Order: sequence, then C-alpha cells, then structure tokens
Amino acid sequence: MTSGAQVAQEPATSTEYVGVSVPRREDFRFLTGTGTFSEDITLSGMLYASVVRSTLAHADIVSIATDAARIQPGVVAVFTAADFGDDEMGTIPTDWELPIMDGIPARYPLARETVKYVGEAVAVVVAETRVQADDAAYFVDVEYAERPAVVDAELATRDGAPLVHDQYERNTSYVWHLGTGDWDSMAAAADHTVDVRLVNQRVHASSLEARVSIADYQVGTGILTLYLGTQNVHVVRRNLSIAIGIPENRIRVVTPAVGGAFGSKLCLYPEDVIVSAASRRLRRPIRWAETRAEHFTGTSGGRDHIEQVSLAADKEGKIQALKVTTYANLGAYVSGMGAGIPVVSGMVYPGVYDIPVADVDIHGVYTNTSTTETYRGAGRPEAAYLIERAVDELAAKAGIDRVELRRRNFIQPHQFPYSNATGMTYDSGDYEKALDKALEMIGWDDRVAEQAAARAEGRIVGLGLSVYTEFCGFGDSFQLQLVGFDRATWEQSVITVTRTGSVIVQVGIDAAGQGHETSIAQIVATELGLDIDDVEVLQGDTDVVHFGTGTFNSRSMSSAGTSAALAARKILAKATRLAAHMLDVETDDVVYRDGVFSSGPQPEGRQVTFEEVAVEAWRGVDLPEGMEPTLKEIAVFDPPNFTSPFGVHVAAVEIDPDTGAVRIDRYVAVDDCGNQINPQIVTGQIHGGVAQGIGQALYEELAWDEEGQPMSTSFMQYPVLRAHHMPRLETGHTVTPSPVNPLGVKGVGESGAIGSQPAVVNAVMDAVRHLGVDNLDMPLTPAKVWTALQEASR
Amino acid sequence: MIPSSFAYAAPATLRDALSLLAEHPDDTKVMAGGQSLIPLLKLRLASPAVVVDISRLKALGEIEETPSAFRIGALVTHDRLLGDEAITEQWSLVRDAGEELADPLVRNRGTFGGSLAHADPAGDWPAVALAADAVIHVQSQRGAREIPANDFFTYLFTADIADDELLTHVELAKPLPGTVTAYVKIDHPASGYAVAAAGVSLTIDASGTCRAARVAFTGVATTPLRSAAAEQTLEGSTIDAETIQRAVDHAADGINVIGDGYAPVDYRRHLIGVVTGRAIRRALDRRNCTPDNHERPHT
Ligand SMILES: Cc1cc2nc3c(=O)[nH]c(=O)nc-3n(C[C@H](O)[C@H](O)[C@H](O)COP(=O)(O)OP(=O)(O)OC[C@H]3O[C@@H](n4cnc5c(N)ncnc54)[C@H](O)[C@@H]3O)c2cc1C
Repeated sequence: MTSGAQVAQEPATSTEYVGVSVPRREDFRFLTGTGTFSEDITLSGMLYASVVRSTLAHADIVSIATDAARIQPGVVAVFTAADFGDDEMGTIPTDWELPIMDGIPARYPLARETVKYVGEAVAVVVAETRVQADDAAYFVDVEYAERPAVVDAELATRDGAPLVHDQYERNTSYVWHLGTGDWDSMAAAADHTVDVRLVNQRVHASSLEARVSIADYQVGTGILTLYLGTQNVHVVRRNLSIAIGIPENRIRVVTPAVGGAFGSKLCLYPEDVIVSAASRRLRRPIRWAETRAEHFTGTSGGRDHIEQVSLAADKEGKIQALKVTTYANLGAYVSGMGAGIPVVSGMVYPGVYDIPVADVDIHGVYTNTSTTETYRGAGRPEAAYLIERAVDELAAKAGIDRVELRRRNFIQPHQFPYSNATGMTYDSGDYEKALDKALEMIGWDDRVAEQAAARAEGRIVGLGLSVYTEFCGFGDSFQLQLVGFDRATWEQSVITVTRTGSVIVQVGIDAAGQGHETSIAQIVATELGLDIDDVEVLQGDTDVVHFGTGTFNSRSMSSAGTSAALAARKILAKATRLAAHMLDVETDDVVYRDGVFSSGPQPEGRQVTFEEVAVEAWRGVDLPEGMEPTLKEIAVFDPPNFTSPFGVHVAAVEIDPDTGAVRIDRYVAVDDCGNQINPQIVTGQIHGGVAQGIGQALYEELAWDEEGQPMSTSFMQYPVLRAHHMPRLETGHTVTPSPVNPLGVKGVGESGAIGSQPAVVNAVMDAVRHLGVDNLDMPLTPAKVWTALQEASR
Repeated sequence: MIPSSFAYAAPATLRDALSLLAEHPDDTKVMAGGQSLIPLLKLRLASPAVVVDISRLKALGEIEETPSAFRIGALVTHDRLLGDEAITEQWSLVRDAGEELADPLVRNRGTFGGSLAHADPAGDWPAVALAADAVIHVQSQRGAREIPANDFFTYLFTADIADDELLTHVELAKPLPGTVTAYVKIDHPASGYAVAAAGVSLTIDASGTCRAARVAFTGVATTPLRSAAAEQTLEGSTIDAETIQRAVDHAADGINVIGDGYAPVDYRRHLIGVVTGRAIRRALDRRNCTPDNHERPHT
C-alpha cells in the first residue's frame, strides 16, 4: 500500500491498486515547479518567431511589405506565404471530413490571397531573441482590401450573407440529417408540444499554458523534431508530415508537461507548420510561444451552436418525438475534428430518454471567426443542455413534476445496449439509481419545501437538475470511418520488463494533467502484482512510443488502460510459463501473488520472484521450448463501441433581485463512469469539469462584434472561474460497469462539464419562470438576468 | 508579451527623481508598484523611452498622523494602508475598499499614489479619495501644488498631474464627529475591477440630520466622480428609508454612464442606485443607528 492513499476497504492483496486513491505521482513536479513545459526547452542556436496576424475578419491581402522588418536588429528572416511552395508548407489536413462535405477549404499556415478571421497568420518574423522578433513584427506592413464579414452561424446561412469562401455558393458546409420516423404526424397527435430556441455560446478553454511550438530540423539527419504541448503526438506527426512533406519516420514529436489542453490542443495548428518549415529553411531550431491575446484569437474554442428544439409528448408526458435544427459555427476553416463534433452531438440529443422518433438537421457553417474544435465534452455538453432544457420546458408546460417526467421517460436498465433514435448505441446505464442518490444527497423534497417558503418571502430561488448520458472512448472504428472520422480508435501499449524487474509501460495517449501516469501504473501494477513504484509510464514522444491515438473523448482509461492491462496479462502469461519452467512444474500449477511465483499454494511451495524470472528471461539461456528471450509485449485494443457515462447534477440557486447576480448555494453531482481506477482522480475530474460548466453557464463567452473583431482578448474580459466563484461541490458516484472493455471503465474527463451547465441554467429558469421569464441564454450574467426580470415585471 | 526596450533609472532622492522627469517629461514614465504600468508596457499600450522607478524614495512610503490629518505617502502600498488601524478606524471605507481591491499579491506591490495618478476610471482608491475629500500633493522642479480630489480626475486614465510632476502624498483630514463611511463594490468577474462601486461619507449630527454627505462612484463613467444629486438629497435630511430611496433614485442623475457588453448603460445606471443604497446602509449600520424598515444589505 502506498503511504497516504485513501482506501475505503482493505484491498485484497497489497498490490491491488485499482479502485484506490493512490496520490498522483505527477503532482510533486507540478506543484513544486519542477515539471518541464514546452517553453522551458531551450536548444542551442535557437531562434524565436513572432507571428504577424490579420487585424481584419475578412479581407484580400493587397501587399505585404517586409523590407523594414528585415533590417531590424537581430532579424534573421521574415517569411510570408510567397516564400514557400506547397511542398514545403502545404495546407493543414483535418481529421474529420464528413462524406457529404464538398471538400474542405484550403487552410494554408500563412494566409495567401485572403484572410478570413482576426488573428489569422499572415507573416512570421524570425530573430535571435524573442524581443527582437516581437519588435520587428511591428515593421511588417500588410495592406488589406476589406470585405464584409459574417460571425453568426445562423445569419451566415441566409441569402445574401457575405461568403467566407469564394469557391462555395453558400457558407453552409453541410446539412447532416439524423433520426428516424415522422415528426409531423407525432406532433399532430401529441397532447403537449414545446418549442425552444437555445444558444450554446462559444467558449474558450483558455488553459494556463498557452501554445508553444519549437521546431528543430537537423540537416545532418534530415530529421525534424517538434516540441509542443499537445494531446496527441502521433496525430501531429501524421498531419505535419502531410503539410510539410517530410515522411513520418523522419519526424519526431515530443510533448513535455502540458499546462492544460481540454481539447484545444488536439489539432495541428498553423504555427506548428510555420516553425517547422522555417526551421527547415534556416537550419536552426525556432521557438514560437503564444501570447494570451493570440491564444484567445487563434486557438480554437468550442460549442457555438444555435438550436431550435421541439418535443412532442402524450398526456402523461411520455416523449414521442424530438425535432432539432442546429446551426453549428465551424469558424473560418475546418479544424481537426471540428466538422464532426456537431454531428456526434446530434447523436446524443435524445439523452437518457426513450424517444422513438427524432428528426434532426445539423448545419455546419463557415463564418469569419476562429475555428471551433473539441472543448471538454465536445458535443455532449451541447446535447445535454439541449434536451435537459427542453424537458424542463415540457414539464412546466404540461404541469408534470420534472423529476417524475424524467422517470417516465428514462431508458430502463434492461434496455441496454440501447440504440437511440439518432443512431447512437449506449452500452449501459441505470439512471433511476443515480437520480435517487442525487435527490437524496440534496434533500430534494426539503429543498422544494424551503423554496416555497423563501418565495413567500419574496426571494428568488430555484432548484435545477440535469440527467445526462454521453459517449466516450471513441469506437467502433467501422462506424466512425463511415462518417469520415480520420483518426484511429484503437490504442496501443507496450510493456518492457527490465533485467532488474522494473517495468516500463509505453502508452499512446498524452496526458495534459489527468494523472494518467498514476492511473495506468495502478492498472499495470495490479495486473502484474508488483509494487506501483516499480512501474514507470512513458508517453508523449513519438520516438519513445511509436504509435498511438492520443488523449481526447475521455478515452484514455477505456482504450490505453485496457491495452496496458492486456499487455500486462501477456507479460504475466509468459512470466508464469517461465516460472513453471524454473520451478519445474506445470504452468497451471503455478500460483502467483505479489511478485512471487510458487509451485503451489503459498507459503509452502518453492518460490521464484518476478525479478528472478525477469533476469532469466533477459539471459535467455534456459527458456522453455520455443520461448523468445525478454519480457516485452504489445497489446492493441480497439473498442467495439463507445462507453456511455451518465449522471445527475442538481443545483440550488438564489438570485439577487437588485443586481440579477446568481449565487449557487448547493451543488450535488452524482456521476457514473463505470469502474473507477482512482476515485480521487475521478472526483478531481468532476470538480474541474463542473467548474468549466459553471463557467459557461454563468460567466464565459467568446464573442466577436459584427465586423468580426474579437471582444475577448485577455483575462480582463474573459471570466475564467476563480476560486471564490465556485460553490462547494458535493460529489457522489454510482458504479455501472461498461460491457465494452474488460476493465469495465467508461471515462470521466468530461462528465462534469456535461452535467453542470443544464443543471445550473435549469435552476435559474426555475427561479424566474414563475415570474414570467420564459427563456435565458448563457452566460447568465447579472445584467441579463436583471433585464429579463425587469421586462417580465412590466 | 514583452515590453519594448526602455532606459531604466531608480533615483535615490526626490531631487534626482524630479530632475529626471524634467529632462524628457513626455517620454518618461514613473513606476511605483508597477501593477498598472507593467501590464501596459507588456501589452505595448505604453512604450516610454525612460522608466523612472521611484520605489527607492523611502520618504514617500510613510504614513504620518497629525492632530487633524493623515498624510499618506504616495508609495504606501494598498496592503499597508489597509492594515493601518488608525486610518481604517476613522475611515471605514478605506478598509472596505482595500479588502476588495485586487488580490494580496497586487496589494503588496501596488501603491495608493500610483492608483490615484493612474486615474483608472474603475479604480477603487479614487472613489475613496473623492468620498473622503482627500487633497493630493504633487511636486516638480517648478514647485509644489495641491489639488482637491474632486478636481483631480479629468478624463479616462488622466489626472491633473503634469508629466514632470510626481505625486508625493495625499492628505486625508480626520473625519468630523458623527461621520460614518462605507464603500460597496460590484466587481467584474474577469478583471475584478468595479462594474459599479460607491464610497459614501455621511456626517450626521446629534439630531439625526445629515450635515455633510459625499457620494462618489467608480467604474461607471469616464472618471471616478461624485454624485451631486445624491449628496444634495442627503444633506439637510434625516437619513430614513425614504431619504435613502430618494438618494438611490437620483444617484445617477447628471452622470454620463458608460456601457459595455457585460454591463449595458441601463443596467449600470441601475447599479449606481444599488451601490448607493448599500453603501449608505452599511455606513449607517456603523452608527449603530439604523433607519426604520430597511433590510440589511447583502453584498
Ligand atoms: C491583477 C490586478 C488586479 C487589479 N485589481 C484592481 C482593483 O480591483 N481595483 C483597483 O483599484 N486596482 C486594481 N489593480 C490596479 C492596482 O491597484 C495598481 O496597483 C494601481 O492601479 C497602480 O499603482 P502602482 O503603484 O502599481 O502604479 P504603477 O503601475 O507603477 O503606475 C501606474 C501609473 O501611475 C503613474 N504613477 C505611479 N506613481 C506615481 C507617482 N507617485 N507620481 C506620478 N505618477 C505616478 C505611473 O507613471 C503610471 O502611469 C489591479 C492590478 C492588477 C495587476
């Protein structure tokens, strides 16, 4: 047992780490400032890049004058698109092109004829120091011919809207239909229908560490090394290879410690290609480090969907049909997985409810804004918000208690695996159980009674809940490739046992603070019956781990955790055979426990230790017939389906009638991520996710004015949640194992961000609906709430 | 980002500092705590040729108490001022404002004088200085001047202080008997600056009549400023619920209220009333004499 661990029950054996809150081994270096982040890396002879960016949302580039910048002190080179051919700096590939899209618009790392959003890279200055590069960048003079811009996805689909891309007749990139059945006839026959328009605004992860990219092209070997904070070194390697024409086997991508990513560091960015091409040209390493303003304007944000939602229900409130039209803002280009997110969002619009008919149209739309991408939850927060807001509206309109209405519509445990009307299969679930637990934790009935008393005093109080399910662990690969998903769904792990019996695990995921070094080590140490300190987990370097798919969609435990467990099982099988050989017994007679193989039940039998077996395997002199030397195994796990975490979040709020400010008085989250590897990490993930969900519900919005000028370029305007904005979180869990992987894990990285925004907004709506406010869009700023209350009281 | 390059000087005497300022007044910036200046330099919103760091001028870091006033050196930090019990006991609004100003890190470096000289339209100390009728003392090689707070803040980030002048200290007269003060702030969730804040000072005689009132705002207009309408409503009246309501209703009269995406004009105008009412009630609570039928402010 590791000291300081919190254990609910004594584990079965001393190497049973799964399910135990082992302290995160990463924390020491992160909390003591001894971690290495990208910008901590300085290479000899390194140059520094500063990027010149578009100041207009849409314009033709008339000319770029670089002469004055070139003669500034320390400047080594100034490059524009004209300096590179397609073979040296080609377009940036995406990872998800839906089959119905008419191609994707070419996105060159440095803009060619036109710029399409404020912040798009136009030129790069490379100098001996960072300051010299920044200074000289002011001397690059770009002349633009401004064009009309459009920033709102719905407006961009209207006739006459300015076109973002000349080669297309419309800004609509695709309209994807999901669902089966006939909405019209269901709606005509329904006793209750509701119709709501929701805006899920653009938000930004705004990680503490912005992006950094360091390229080092070695002319002697022809190998390019790129250091950057990313969630998937292998995807970066592939896409960079396509963009700059260096084969993948001569590109090394390294991600050191990452100071937050949340989906915003999944795609290949223009600057990664720019520094790579420039390093190859100049034959010197080059570092580019993003400023906060560049981060807000250039690094992808998430969400930005406008949705028209309708539900049709019978007399009892049983929902018969769902209809949705969504306008999803892709931004000016298609970034990474950006095009697919709105579509998979649609696949969970029905949420936890057994709704027979769905009619969903999703419009992916180009605008003159920065690109949208995965952001914590990527599609599922939008879906949960949509259905949970609509269900509350239905309950209010039908006069049915919202808890009861939900119970009547839940998919029942016996229905799993359950295929919903929009084409998603949920692996397992037990929503009643989670709901009961959450209601008990908050004391729902007492809170309802208190609320009535508070309202009688004139206070504005509300209670809200959300029940969500989502999908994690990206699989199955066949279905996903049908919809154009161009990433792998499998994950690989390689385990090597050294001569001294210590264990190296190489995994193809790349953590950005999730604690995977600890949780993967827990899995492997448990499988191998070893002390956790004997297991080291390596990731984030394509020269160390040759293959992988990366960390996103809360897939790391279900995919890499599983492949690590499977590789460990292969190691143990081989070691057991060798131990039997050493002990001179049949393999089946060997008993293994806590690092010791015995010829029979311990402690009587003869014994060899794991370390002794490792030595024997390494020497390779006296091995069983046909056995190769060394203990080294690879396992690749391709999940047969998504996993479906679920949960229930409940919030109690009070609104200050004078200012409209919302205060969260209680917050209960009950989440089910299947089996838990490390409960403390699970709870930590919920805390972080809830913080980001509350941030979206109450504070955050990445906005542009009508001309496409960004309104948030710093933490002075963009309100990331501070400690004092957070309520105390009361967390609980239920455990419904996943049937789609042998560990029974589902994933928990995003759940908190999915359950929270609808719970908070439903609580606020509950507080104000009876005062005459019928809709509010996030963020629920004090001004917005106060104004709505004023208007309702008129 | 990184500031563009500049020359740096850290004079040890006031004389040297003033002569440096006299040399290139329009291209020189004084740096006190740097908590506003350094961000401006980093964003390259300011690119002075010379930065004169005045932090070595120890004489400007003292608080002196005379029988009638406090003399607060320009370099007194927010934290130091907040911790000065003699001042905060008599001027409660100093503690109210100081506790809400930024965070402990900023309060340890940022200075009272810097805050006033910077004249941030949402700065907290300017509203305190206005409500307390502070007098601001500046000096240059040309001589010394004193400016009442009410005349000091002239426009966005602009105060009545010339490029070659240094703010040396601020004089805060001791409050008249019967004076109660308070400061109430509604902050922006990102910046922490005031969306609307009010500092009030009420001098109430034994009969309960308000003899003098100061109501000052920050965060609501192009400068921190006083509300003549609210002050007139309060002066000469008994401060009861009705008077407070009148002050609240008229607090924004004559003010050209600014709006932005977070707080549009109408909403901010409304908040002016909210902070006015809350600050008056908080001040009155300190008098242990609450007017009839009011709720305790919840802030
Ligand atoms: C994270 C953060 C949060 C903040 N939050 C708040 C807040 O909530 N409320 C608030 O009021 N402020 C806030 N501030 C600003 C802070 O109060 C600053 O300290 C203050 O505005 C300036 O004081 P300073 O000593 O740091 O001045 P500096 O930054 O050194 O200087 C500011 C300006 O004043 C001039 N100046 C300084 N001293 C003198 C002098 N003696 N004579 C002449 N000119 C001078 C400088 O030339 C410069 O133009 C915040 C700052 C930060 C970094």
